[in-house]
Amino acid sequence: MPHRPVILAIETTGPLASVALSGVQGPVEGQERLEEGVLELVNQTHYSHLEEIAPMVKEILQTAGMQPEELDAIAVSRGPGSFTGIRIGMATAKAFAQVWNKPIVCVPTLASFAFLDADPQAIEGFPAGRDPLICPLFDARRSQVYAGVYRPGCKDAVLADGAYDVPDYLEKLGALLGDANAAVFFGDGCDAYRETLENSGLPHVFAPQHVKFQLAHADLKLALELYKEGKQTDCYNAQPEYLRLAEAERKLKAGALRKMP
Amino acid sequence: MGIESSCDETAIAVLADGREVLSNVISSQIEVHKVYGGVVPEIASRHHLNNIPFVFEQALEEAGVSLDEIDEIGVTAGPGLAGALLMGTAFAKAVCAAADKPLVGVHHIQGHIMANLLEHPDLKPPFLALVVSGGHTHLVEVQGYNTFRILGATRDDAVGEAYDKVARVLGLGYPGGPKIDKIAKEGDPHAIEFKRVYLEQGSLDFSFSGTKTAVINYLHKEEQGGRPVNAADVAASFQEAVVEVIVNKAMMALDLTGYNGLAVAGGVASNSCLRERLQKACEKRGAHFYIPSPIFCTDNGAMIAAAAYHKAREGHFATLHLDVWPGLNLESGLDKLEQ
Repeated sequence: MPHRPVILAIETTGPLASVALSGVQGPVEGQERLEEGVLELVNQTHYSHLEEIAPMVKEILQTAGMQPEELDAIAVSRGPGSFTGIRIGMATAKAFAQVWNKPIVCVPTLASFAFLDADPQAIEGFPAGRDPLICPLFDARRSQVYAGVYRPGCKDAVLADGAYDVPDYLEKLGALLGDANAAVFFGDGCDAYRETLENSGLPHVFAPQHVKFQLAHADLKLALELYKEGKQTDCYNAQPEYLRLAEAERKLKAGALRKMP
Repeated sequence: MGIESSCDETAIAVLADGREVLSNVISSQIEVHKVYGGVVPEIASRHHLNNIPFVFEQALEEAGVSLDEIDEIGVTAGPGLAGALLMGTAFAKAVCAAADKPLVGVHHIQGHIMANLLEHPDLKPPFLALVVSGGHTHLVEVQGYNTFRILGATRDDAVGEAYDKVARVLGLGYPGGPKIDKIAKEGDPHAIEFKRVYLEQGSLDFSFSGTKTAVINYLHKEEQGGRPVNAADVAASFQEAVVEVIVNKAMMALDLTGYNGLAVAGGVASNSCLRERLQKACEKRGAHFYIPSPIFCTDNGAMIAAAAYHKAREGHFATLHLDVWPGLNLESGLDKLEQ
């Protein structure tokens, strides 16, 4: 049997922090979601990533009865998402990777939604006879969303990741949906722009609560694909993907900030 | 090992026995932030994230030790910029989790004060400390390695902040402290008598915004009158007003507490005029004077390691759930670092 890579994935870019681990020899007590040797821990307290993430990494290895030496790589959700959240996950991943001497797989966060353990067509209210398009939307403030469009199980975007004005995104999405597809909205953008999305006239459903936000098991599945393609880096070169400049950089580029002597 | 990332320096150091500096790596972002005229928190955080694995590796390499040989890791968990503190703390916690090391949460000012121990083996609490930096101006009674009483603090701008603002209006650029210090050497410190703010009788608190405003008003007035301004005189006179108040308040604190020595700490302790005047004032009254070398006055990892060393000896460890505290109080907040 070919060796299935053992990867530990870290997710802190959204409201919930989670970790996932592949290559786990089941069954593990108290873990119902153990499928294909994948174990996941989700912290249900919103935005307590800094406090919880390092202990969670230790806990998942302990729960699985595995040692750091068994890991092939550390995967980390690289963004977009909360800037602070992205950095907590990235700094944590870099430190574990550096100390344990493991490569890092940087997982594009929006694409990870195409790998969630959920059947879109089974979501209540999904329009019959259509194919699902995965539409992760993160509230980027300033009336924008970080968003893309994906097909289930496929990491190549149908609509490239970007910071979109909501109407612009919906217009592009409408053209992609046509008569054959329906949108499944994920992410905290669902809450921030719920009314706009509901009134868009596009065939859609909202993701159910338990898979609405970023989750490490989805990052892990995508990381396994990326790892097999050799797309790993190291703690020095792993880069976050903010999809937006810092406000001050943006102003400086726009010439709105007076240059200092 | 000490890890510091509370503002715009990513710094990691390794100490032996809490005192011998084996390495002290400081990756400064001054050049990055210069163009903005001050530290931009989001940009600082982004740079910390990129820098920290390199700084970590270099600190171990220069110290000639492996991570296995590190006994404890201390990290600044407050006060400071939230996003910046997060980077050092997230990294430190993961290193401790990965390598099974005890973690110590350090107050940034505690670190600055303990920098004095690096070069002064005779200095032990209790003693009096003057903390002067970009974010802090404090007179502190150091009762123990982890027990502090704040005798006086600034009510408005920190001294470094006032320097930065005055440097900005003088067109000297950022960071203001070293620039004013340098140009002031060519100016007359008594050219303009800027307002000295002592607050009420006996107060050990500071206020620098009045002096800063006096400088700004003076510049406006001269500009309106079409008179050319001598920047060196303005800088020297501003510095004179600020240093005079700090020195007098520090001496008053020695009088009130009865300590016979003063330890100075913080980034502004690098200021040559302040160093000299404090030293003279201490010598005049026969008090001991302690001040770290400039490299240990700026934000650095060695001071955090020194503080962590003493905290660890007294059993003040953090857990892997350590949070960051951007407004952490030195006197009443240290318990938060042990939750």
